[in-house]
Amino acid sequence: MESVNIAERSDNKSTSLSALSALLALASVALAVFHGIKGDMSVALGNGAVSYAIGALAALAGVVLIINSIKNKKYMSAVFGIVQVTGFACFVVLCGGKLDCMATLSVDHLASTMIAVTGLMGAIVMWRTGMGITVLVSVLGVDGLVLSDDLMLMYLFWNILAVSSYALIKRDGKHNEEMAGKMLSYNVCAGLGFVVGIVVSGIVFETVDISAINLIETVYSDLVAVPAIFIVLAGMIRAMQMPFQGWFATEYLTSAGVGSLIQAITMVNSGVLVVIKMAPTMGISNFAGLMAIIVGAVTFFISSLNAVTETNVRKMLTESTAATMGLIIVCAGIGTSESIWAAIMLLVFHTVAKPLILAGTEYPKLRTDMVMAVIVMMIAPFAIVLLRRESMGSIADTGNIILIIMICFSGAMAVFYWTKWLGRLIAEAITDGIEPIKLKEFNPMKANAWLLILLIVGFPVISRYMVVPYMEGLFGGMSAAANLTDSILGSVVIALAVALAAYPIYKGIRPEEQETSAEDDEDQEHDVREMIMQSTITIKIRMICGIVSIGMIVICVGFIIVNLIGLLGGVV
Amino acid sequence: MIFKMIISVAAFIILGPFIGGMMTGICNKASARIQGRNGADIFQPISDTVALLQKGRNENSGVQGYYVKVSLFFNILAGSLFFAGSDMLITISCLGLGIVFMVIAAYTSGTYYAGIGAERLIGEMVAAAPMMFMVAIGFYVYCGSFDVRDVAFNSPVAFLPLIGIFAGFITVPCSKLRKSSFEYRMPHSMYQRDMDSISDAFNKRDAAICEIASWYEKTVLFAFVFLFFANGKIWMIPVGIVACLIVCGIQGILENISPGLSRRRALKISWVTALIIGVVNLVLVYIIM
Repeated sequence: MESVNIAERSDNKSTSLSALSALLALASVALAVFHGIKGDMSVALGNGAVSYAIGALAALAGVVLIINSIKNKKYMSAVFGIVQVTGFACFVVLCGGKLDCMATLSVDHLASTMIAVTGLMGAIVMWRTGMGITVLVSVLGVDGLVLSDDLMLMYLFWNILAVSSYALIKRDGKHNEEMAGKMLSYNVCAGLGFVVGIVVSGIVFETVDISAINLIETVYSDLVAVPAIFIVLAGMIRAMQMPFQGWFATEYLTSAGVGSLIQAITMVNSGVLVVIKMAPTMGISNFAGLMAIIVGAVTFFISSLNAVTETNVRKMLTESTAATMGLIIVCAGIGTSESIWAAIMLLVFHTVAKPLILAGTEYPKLRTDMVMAVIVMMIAPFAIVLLRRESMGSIADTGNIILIIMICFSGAMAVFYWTKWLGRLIAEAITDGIEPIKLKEFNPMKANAWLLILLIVGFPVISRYMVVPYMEGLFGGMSAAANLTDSILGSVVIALAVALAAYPIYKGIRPEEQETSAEDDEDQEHDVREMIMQSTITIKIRMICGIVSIGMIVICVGFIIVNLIGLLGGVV
Repeated sequence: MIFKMIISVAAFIILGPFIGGMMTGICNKASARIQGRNGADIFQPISDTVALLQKGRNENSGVQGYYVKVSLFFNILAGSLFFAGSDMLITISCLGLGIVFMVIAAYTSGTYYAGIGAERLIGEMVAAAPMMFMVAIGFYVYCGSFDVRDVAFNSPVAFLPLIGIFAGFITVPCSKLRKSSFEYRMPHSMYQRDMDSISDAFNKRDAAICEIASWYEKTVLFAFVFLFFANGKIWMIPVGIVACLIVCGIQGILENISPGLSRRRALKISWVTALIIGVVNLVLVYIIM
């Protein structure tokens, strides 16, 4: 049904939409190229009146969220929203003028990388699904988020993203009213965390500049954890970390286009990006980092477990998104230059590969590009984080046994569900034949596949010229992640695996004649999945992990609040 | 340096299957002796496979043959990286890819028993993976590097400090050392033991290649066992070789004391083993260092 729907939509697709998506892609790439030529640059919008204007806009977006919450009968989240908008407005009115910040938009390497990737993928989704303005607004929201070097500006884009994603989900289908409401309430909670972070930072440090906060971090690591922990918590709620997975649990009901936008390009990415931007302030020695590491590891573990037991493909993909995000947040939480490198690279790979897989699930038959994307998603966490010298070294160097155990076991489970799915997929593709890729409606996916190939081949280049300079800017000196041989080796392994697995499907090689057995496939299901599903241990493990994760958040936030009270007492 | 590297890689590519095949023979012999049989010659697996290759010389292989060859390629790549003294993590990931492609090969053959074989192979991989990660982390924590070169030549013998991880390693991931991947190692019921899923899924030549791939894999796993004893001194080489032979014997014992072990039990046991032994050992190593 859905594929027919999309075909119709693509028939009616107006030329203006194609022009819009082409423009978006071109503009994003142009910005990255311009940045590559000119180097880092920043535009200060000014303080005073500009701060008030930004505050007013952000509050307005917050009010839109509140109104929608009330419409959806989510009164709890409406209360949260009111608290947050009031708090924010008070803060802007009282302290907005005094703040030593210039509302800076700065283009650094992280921003240019993410803008290029997000813009290209947004354009592809726009082309494929025929949704114009909302997609554009979402993509611009992410762009603004990575560009802004100022927590208040960031909050503005954060709210814009929430509004546009709400509109996207709500308009997507008939079941989605409730889902949109759910997503809204979680996001309003996340916004509350963000506002608390801004207020604390403004009152304690008298600045909301991220670069200034990072500068303070070099001297007062423990102090900076105070505002950072709230902002990181907000990011983690959006990145569907462990106790807050609720808003996404139903996400698989959306169409593939909206799903890929939300879970791979805009919404979830924005949460992770906030954590990555705050990553230099985190580390294994402060509470913000500790919380991010443990909660991320628990999410990686639990989501992998859920993905193993899941039979619905879309749901499995959502769980794997959560798992990947958990891994990224672990890397960001460790806060060394190698681990942040790994986080950014993994995010880039996920952004390009996941929409291709999701798009593939809309069609009954499989194509080469989807196999490619699945293999990339399978290998990327291993080639970039889990089986890479630098990042695994930083994970082992933390000396955090819980983290190491979680990583070991969830890595094993990640291998399990991807391998199994991949094997089944390829087997089906080869025995049933593949869909001709020549159709016009596959063009966006072809473009996506080429982008993925470009990413795999250009892995060392992207690492060296786009991500490593960001690390050097943050930590100074040549980062160990710049080790070029390693990048090339990782990229070669990914490329080989992709090429070798996809070749027979691409060429249409058939299996030799076999007597296919008459037994039904159900018998084959007596496997590990079933074992994990049936055993009561699983439920216990889930409970324990949930308790660990919630406990970690409560302990860390509690400790920070106690710290904060002490601090404010000192100020008074 | 580079010359040495090339020599050792070439030696692995040429001698790898023979070592793996011989070790399989030794394992079988040990197992037979425990059962009171005399057992076949230790070169029997090699001559079997050569015969299989010769018989299947003129066969065309379909897509599953292709994937079996890809699996062989990744196993050789893993070993080559290992013996070039490179990163042991990349070695592990290549070994993993070798198994992944073997699973795909089994699935694409479309037959029932090959499907079961694939499931078992995945189960085995899942059972072994946490321990493999822990081996790498253990070496990193104790020797300070993931490079095989550094662990082998520039650091003290890791056997005693990592003894728990070693025990876990030889019981869990080295379950592969016992037999080839597609034989029923841990059958649910006795009759399955009689079915030979290789001939069900692959033709003779592919079966032989599958066997050779598993020998390369075995050689790499034995090289990991050897790594626990290496410290760059000449006199540790015989100790390492003796250790490998003892591991063969232990595999024979393990095979004989766990005849009716179902895969579920096996997975559960191996994960609990990895969890307890690995954690205790890692904590101790962190304390020592």
